[in-house]
This record gives sequence, structure tokens and C-alpha cells, in this order.
Amino acid sequence: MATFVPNPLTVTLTAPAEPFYRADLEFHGVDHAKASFEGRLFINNPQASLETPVDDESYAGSFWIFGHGGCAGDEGHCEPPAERRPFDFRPEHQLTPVSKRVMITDKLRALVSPGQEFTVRIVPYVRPEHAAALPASLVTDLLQVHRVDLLSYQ
Amino acid sequence: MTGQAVSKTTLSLRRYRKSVTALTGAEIATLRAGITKMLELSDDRGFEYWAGIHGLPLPISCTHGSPLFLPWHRAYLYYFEQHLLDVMPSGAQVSLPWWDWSTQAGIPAAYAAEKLPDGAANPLAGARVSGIPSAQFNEFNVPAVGRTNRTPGPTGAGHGPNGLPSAAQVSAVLALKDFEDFTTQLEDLHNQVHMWVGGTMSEIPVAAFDPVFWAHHTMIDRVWALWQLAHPGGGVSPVPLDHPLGPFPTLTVAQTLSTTALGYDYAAATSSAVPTATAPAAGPATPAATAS
Repeated sequence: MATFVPNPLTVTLTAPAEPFYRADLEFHGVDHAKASFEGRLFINNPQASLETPVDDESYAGSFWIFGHGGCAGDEGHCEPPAERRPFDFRPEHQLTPVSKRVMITDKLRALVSPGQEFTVRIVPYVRPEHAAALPASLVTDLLQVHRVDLLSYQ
Repeated sequence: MTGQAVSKTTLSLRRYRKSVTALTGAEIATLRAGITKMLELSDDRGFEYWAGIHGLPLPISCTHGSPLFLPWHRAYLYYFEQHLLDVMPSGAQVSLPWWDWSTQAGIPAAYAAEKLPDGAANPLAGARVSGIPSAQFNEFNVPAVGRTNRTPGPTGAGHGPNGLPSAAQVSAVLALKDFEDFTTQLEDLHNQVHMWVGGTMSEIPVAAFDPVFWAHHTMIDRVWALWQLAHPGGGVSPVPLDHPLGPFPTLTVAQTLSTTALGYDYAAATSSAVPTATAPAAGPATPAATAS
């Protein structure tokens, strides 16, 4: 039913100084309300797209979102509350955005000099045959990320 | 989970979950018989009801993207397995097998074949997607399907020879010492497998209707169990141990920390024997005592 059109995002970060033992990219506020998808990460490759293979030198890893598959309820059912009231002990809303963490230690060291700025291109990917079975609303504007952090253990 | 007598026979009564490739023909037949019986039940003992706990019908109860991911799914498997045991004759040996996608390329044969040699449908190959009010399928969510389907394959070239997480990736995850690190990375491998299977398994609302869901999650539970063995005291921080695991009224997070306390393990006996009395082996004759 739908053809997947990706909406990649690019962020600019700064590599840590050496020595560092581990470097992680953390993605916060990741939306998971729609279709399942892979978020492919490319370093210093702002043109990376669906056609860029994951064995490209710039590929640094992926995160994977197991999607909620849209909203089965009435209007408003799938909108997380803007804030949680005190004494609200119910489970967190199912669609509260999630955080993802991808370890990129070796790739960062290989591709970026210490202290240098670099870009991370996030390319969402949905298998074409899967997208074809879904309504367009589930694969449109799929990638929503609130913030990206580079964490380094030094 | 409360009020049970402590028994000296606990260890011997423990069930062992096995790799699906290690199941004998009789064990696969028993598993199929149990799943078939659960599929025939339309009430809250049946397959449809338990598949629906994970996703649709509302409410969607599964927990993802959270440190509760592993405890919640362990409780879920436990309840499902108890109902599987319920439908079997007393004493039947049946437990959920695991699909080690890191070493077994593709859907396991026991779950892949649509038909059995006798021509009957294989209950592990697919199931009805039912019990969901039609109003819960609309133009804004996954389309209604009458039966599970799969489109197995990699999510693009370059993700290893078959597109599934590799044994090296599993080993790397097992080496992580911090629980939050471990669970987030394991959950990502889990997500990758859901997408690899494709079709119904790809989306939360209907994934658990596919029988292979249970073999996949038993693998995830097994990897957690292996991590617990490798990292004693690793815990589940930052999850409070007394956190309830709805909708499983008798289990908290603390009660999911030990598989043996839940009555199962993954360390199947690889060799067993019944001791028999045997005559002492003939050996050198004992020197006769001599009088001095």
C-alpha cells in the first residue's frame, strides 16, 4: 500500500580527546509509534541514503525500533501526556519516546580525529515489502529524534 | 508464587527448555499438540488470549524500550508455558524451545513447514489473528490480517551472511557488565530479529500471534539467563525489585530473577544414566594374610 520515503536526520558532534575507552551515541526522544525500522548511522557521510550499504566505510552501526504499529484507539489514545502528575502510579504511557544507545568506539576512532567535529547521518530503513503492506501514515516521517548525545568514557 | 512448600524434589522437577534443533521428533509432536490445544481454546486459557496480551486487542501490555523489557517478557513466557502445561496430560514433558537465530540460519524447520508429513497443517508455522475488535483496525494502524504471515530476510545488504544477529554479536552483548547496557543492546538484537522475520512479527500489535514469536523470546530469555550466570549480582538496576509485572498478578521483577525459582532452566542434561549395581571387577588377588 505504501512506498517508504526516508526522512534522514543529520547532527554535528565533537569527538572526544584521547584517551577514551568507549564512545556511545545515545538517541533520546525516539518516536516508536509507527512502523518498525532500522536507524542506520553514517559518520561524515551527509549524503548517505537508502542506497548506501552498511558495509560502506562510513557506516557506524544501527539501532532498531520495534514499532507500535500506529494507533488502534480513539483520538488521543496514542498521545503520551505532556507531563506526569504527582501520585500517578500507573505504568508509563506505551508511546513515551524511547532512548537508544549504539556503541561506536572503534568506528569513531577510525574515522574522526580527536577533538574534531563530525556529522552523524541517521537513515531510517524499512524493508520495501514490509512498507508495501502498511498504510502510508505508518512509514511517513518515520524518524523523530529529540536529541543525540555522544558519550565517551575517558 | 507465595505459600508454596519448599521441596527437596525441586531440582528434579525442574523443566528444561531446549534448543528447537535439539528436540526429538516426539518432543516436537508434543509441543505441536499443546499449541494446537491452546489454539482451540477461545477463552483466557487459549493461544489467542495470550497472544493478545502482547499487543491487540487493547490494552497493549508489552514493555519495550525499558529496563522492564526482560523481566516482563520472562513473566509473559512463564504464564504462557503454564497454560501450555495445563492443556497437556499430567506428566507430559513440554516446554518452550528456543530458536538460536545467531547460529541457525533461517526460521527453524519445525516452525517453517506449512504442512506436516501427514498433510495436516503445522500449528507452529502460523496461526489465526483473531479476537481483536474490528474497530481496533483502522486506517492509522497495522492492517487487519486473518492469519500470520512471514517475509524472512535481511533488512538490507551487509548485515552479515544472513541478516540475523551473529554469534559474535551475542557474545559481545553477554560480555557487557552493566544490566542497563546489556538489556538495551540485547533488545536491539531482539528488534532486529522481529524485523528479519517480517510480516506479522514485524509489528508489536500482532507479533505474538506468530508461533515463532515464542521461540524467539525464549532465546532472548535464555541469553538473559546466560548473562545472569556470567555476571552474578548483575541485578536489574535501575528497576525496583518489587515492581509489579502487569497483567501477571503473581509476579514482581524480583520473582523473575531466577529461572530455577520459576521451575525451568536452560542447562539441559547432555548425558544421563541410571546407576546399576555391578559386581566388583576382577582384580589382582588380595594377598592372603600370613601368620607370623
